[in-house]
Amino acid sequence: MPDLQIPRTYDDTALHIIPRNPYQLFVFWDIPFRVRESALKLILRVTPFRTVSTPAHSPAVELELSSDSTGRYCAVDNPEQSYIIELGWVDRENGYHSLLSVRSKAAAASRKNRSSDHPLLYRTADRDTIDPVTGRAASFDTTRKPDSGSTPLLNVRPGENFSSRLKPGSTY
Amino acid sequence: MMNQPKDGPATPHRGYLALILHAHLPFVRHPEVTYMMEENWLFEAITETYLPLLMLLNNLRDDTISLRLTMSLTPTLCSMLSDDLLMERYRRHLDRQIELAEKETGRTARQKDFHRTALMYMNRFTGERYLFDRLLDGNILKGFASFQEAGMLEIITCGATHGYLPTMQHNPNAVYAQLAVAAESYHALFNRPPTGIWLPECGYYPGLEKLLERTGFRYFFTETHGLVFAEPPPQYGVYAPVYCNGTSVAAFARDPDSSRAVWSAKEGYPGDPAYRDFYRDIGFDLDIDYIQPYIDPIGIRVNTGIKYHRITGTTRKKKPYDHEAALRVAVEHAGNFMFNREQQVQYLASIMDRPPVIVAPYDAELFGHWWYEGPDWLNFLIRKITFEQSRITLITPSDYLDRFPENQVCTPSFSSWGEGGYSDVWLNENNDWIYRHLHHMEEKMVASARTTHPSDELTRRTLNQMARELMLAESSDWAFIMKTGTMVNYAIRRTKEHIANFLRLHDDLQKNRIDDNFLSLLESHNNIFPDMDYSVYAKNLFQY
Repeated sequence: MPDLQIPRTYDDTALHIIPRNPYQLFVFWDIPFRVRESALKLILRVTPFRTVSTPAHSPAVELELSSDSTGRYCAVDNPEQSYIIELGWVDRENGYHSLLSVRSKAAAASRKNRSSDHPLLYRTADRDTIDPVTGRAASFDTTRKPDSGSTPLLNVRPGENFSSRLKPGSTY
Repeated sequence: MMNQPKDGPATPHRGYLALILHAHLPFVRHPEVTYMMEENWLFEAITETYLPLLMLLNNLRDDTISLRLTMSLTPTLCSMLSDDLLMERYRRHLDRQIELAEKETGRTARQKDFHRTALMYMNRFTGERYLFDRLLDGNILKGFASFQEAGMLEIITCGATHGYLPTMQHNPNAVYAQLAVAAESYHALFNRPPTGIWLPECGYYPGLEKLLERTGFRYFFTETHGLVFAEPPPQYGVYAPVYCNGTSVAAFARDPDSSRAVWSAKEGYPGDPAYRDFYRDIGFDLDIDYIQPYIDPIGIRVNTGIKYHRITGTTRKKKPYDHEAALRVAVEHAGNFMFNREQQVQYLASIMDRPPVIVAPYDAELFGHWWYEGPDWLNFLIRKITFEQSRITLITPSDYLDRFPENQVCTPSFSSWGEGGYSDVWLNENNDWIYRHLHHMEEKMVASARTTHPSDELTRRTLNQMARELMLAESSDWAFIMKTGTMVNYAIRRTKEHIANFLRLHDDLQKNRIDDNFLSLLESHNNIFPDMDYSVYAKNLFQY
């Protein structure tokens, strides 16, 4: 097998955006080695992309970063909005040089964050008659037993989470 | 008109339950050593989950119980289950388990509480060896395929190497390759195209449906909020599929109630004190001299699969396991699950003008591996649904779409089934370093596939191996392990190894100095997808 040394960054000009969740973008970049050596600092500018249907909710945000930085999590306030991310650098004479800019896609199709205040099911006519949290009738009971035995139904082991897949650490 | 089933009006106040089992393990194969602890992930899952599920299906078929169950078998898992080296190693692993179980029946002969359990393991392991060797001829996939042919099982696929697609969306070719290679691999194994796909980690982003349609998939699943936050909001919430805007691809969403009953650490069935405790294993409990032949050869203690205690409670002091008592609880839990689904269906059907479908997906490895009695619970549930009620019918997504071909059109929301509901598990301070390399590799792969026109076999093999190394690096498992903090070194090593392999192959290709020995070594070690065709990365996909 080969040596597992891999480059920290690439000698390239690239800016990437990955939505982490509706309110956070992960932005990372590669810049040419010669630029990184010449840069006093990097500038990352996050600007809401304005259209008629998605007017900007907030002004541009400008972040000053050290010249050896390679990535950054950026908070955004509107998941339905796309953003222009611009990366530039400042030389030792304080001259600004734009490197490149990329437009993000909107992180979410619509709606806001995951929460319990959205019904799982409603029809327009029934909307007010259904439990807004669960979408169920109040009489519905997820913990009721069909035949009442003496065994307690819902006992748990604290700290154990069954929601993960076959845990790779299971052999330890 | 939209709500009438294709084959006639639906019976009022009835509905459907779609049970989905997602079987997945990352590709772990180390021919360079005689023992690799991480290969035990597969061996444990075969003994504790896949063979018990096949036994369950076999028993149901013998009892002429009709059922429709959906199971995703990921391409990485299928590759390992088809691999001669790994299956030979599994055979030896099972032999060792049987040998240990035999010794345990002797060791516990005077310990009444434990002896019955030791006999249980002995019987189970020998039965599994018979199933594996004699009935399946070492081919577990053949077993699952036979139940698909018999109409009991709908097998679906997953991303080729379980790559988490939302973090790849910048490069549609990379996403498309994950889907297309999965579909081709499925076709080669099961002699038919896959109807549906389990998106790795249930990760969906708007626009993915266009690539799913292009690769021929009819449906996929989202986490609950994928549909709850869809635009426009679905009329039936998560209790009917929707067609994704502009495509004929349907999205089914997970029902939170049926999920919680099984998954939840606080409310879930698997935490019952009568059930077998996962963590107390004789690999850790018994004297090292006694257990040495059955653990890591260098002396690291590992699980042996033989466990004698029940969960008991929060105390560290555990009581002896009683399998019969545990089965009685599993019967009760199956009844509870069915009862609550009946209530749910009755309520939902009363406010819907079509029968609801409750989608209940679980990791297959929960059943038997983590929750030892899980396959028994499933067995009891299926039998109860068959004989003890008439409100719920088991169904697969394909069947539902056949019965209800007209559905609302929506755009689901970005979602996953990871903690927080989005990409936080696979993109955080512990693992975000990998994406620089993955994006770089994906771009180089697409460019190489488009611009290289191999005139010789060596170049073509290099491009194909580059595609394998890229896909193996993309596995969501490595980022997941880096986040969870267990076995991190292995995940980092695997990721770096595939990155380094790819970069060297790419560099060799660019400089026209391909090292046949190095290439052959990689082909023999990382031999997933023998029919890999690099040109899958060269497609001119639509822009969206």
